[in-house]
Amino acid sequence: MKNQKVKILLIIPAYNEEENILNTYKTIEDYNKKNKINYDVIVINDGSLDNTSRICHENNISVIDLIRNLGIGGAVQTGYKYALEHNYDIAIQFDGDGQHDVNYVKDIIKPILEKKANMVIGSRFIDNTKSDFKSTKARRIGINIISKIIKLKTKIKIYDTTSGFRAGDKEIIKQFALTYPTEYPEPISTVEVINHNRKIKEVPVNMKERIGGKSSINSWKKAYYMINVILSILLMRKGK
Amino acid sequence: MSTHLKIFLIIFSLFLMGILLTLISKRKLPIKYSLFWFFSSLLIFLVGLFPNFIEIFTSFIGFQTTSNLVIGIILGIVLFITLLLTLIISEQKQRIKLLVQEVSLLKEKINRKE
Repeated sequence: MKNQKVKILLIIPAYNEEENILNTYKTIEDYNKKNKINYDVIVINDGSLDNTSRICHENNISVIDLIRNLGIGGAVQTGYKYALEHNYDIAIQFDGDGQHDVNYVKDIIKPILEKKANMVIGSRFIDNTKSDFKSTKARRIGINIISKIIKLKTKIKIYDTTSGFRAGDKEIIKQFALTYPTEYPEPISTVEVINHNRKIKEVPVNMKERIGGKSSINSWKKAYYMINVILSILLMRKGK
Repeated sequence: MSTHLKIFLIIFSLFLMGILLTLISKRKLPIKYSLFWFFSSLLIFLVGLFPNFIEIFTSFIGFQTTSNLVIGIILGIVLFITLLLTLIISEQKQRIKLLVQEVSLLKEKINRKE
């Protein structure tokens, strides 16, 4: 497979990202021009209350304006539905807040192009030299616990369980378009992918600290988040 | 169980059934969901009419008085209905999510063609 023939889509969920969305888009556009490749972009505006939508329309950025806020899971799934409808070969979840670096997209799609994996997770933790931003200590402990629970349940080690920087092939696109968890989508959907007997790989990526806006998980919800994720994973059944 | 409580339970359950029937005839309550409510009010009615029947269970389950058991039964019914409602709400949530997604995708498609 040659890179040019493969249709690649970056799904960018955005909720109140007026400060970052244009920058994120321009970075991708510059990258496309410089490397003579074509990563398509679809912004999923998750019912933002700010000017996210207006900025996208004024700058000719492809955007789907969700008519009501659905939360990250519902927004990302809309992106996968779009990818399925437009027959994309690879779909990549990419944050609109400047955390993810477009230079690593080629790394996370490589295992898919080589048919070594169905889904690839951009990981902060497998190569410790790589990422500037490793998240807070509490968050890292949380990610580690989820990792252990997934290992316990599926026998497969995933290091960066909450990474939102992920790529999926056609099978994954189809699966996620059909069913994608509304809550705690990253770890839960990872287990669902494993349960469908699909191959997952992790590749090291660099993540930056958020430039503006707020993370979707705030402090007092962390404990609640952990309990929910752990229970959901432990109670999941294998099969389709 | 006191006569007052018996009378109250009978009147209460008849009143509840009356409301259910009115709601069904006005097509506000689907039969599907009304059945459980009917059984519940029937149960309360029977408890009021034949308290001896449940007095046997009072000490068996460990309640001090039959009136406490009555409250226990009603609490059980309420808990079950709440669980049912949670189920229905999550199903509705899924459907609404699907609708929002599909409508938004369609709107994008139309916008692009214009």
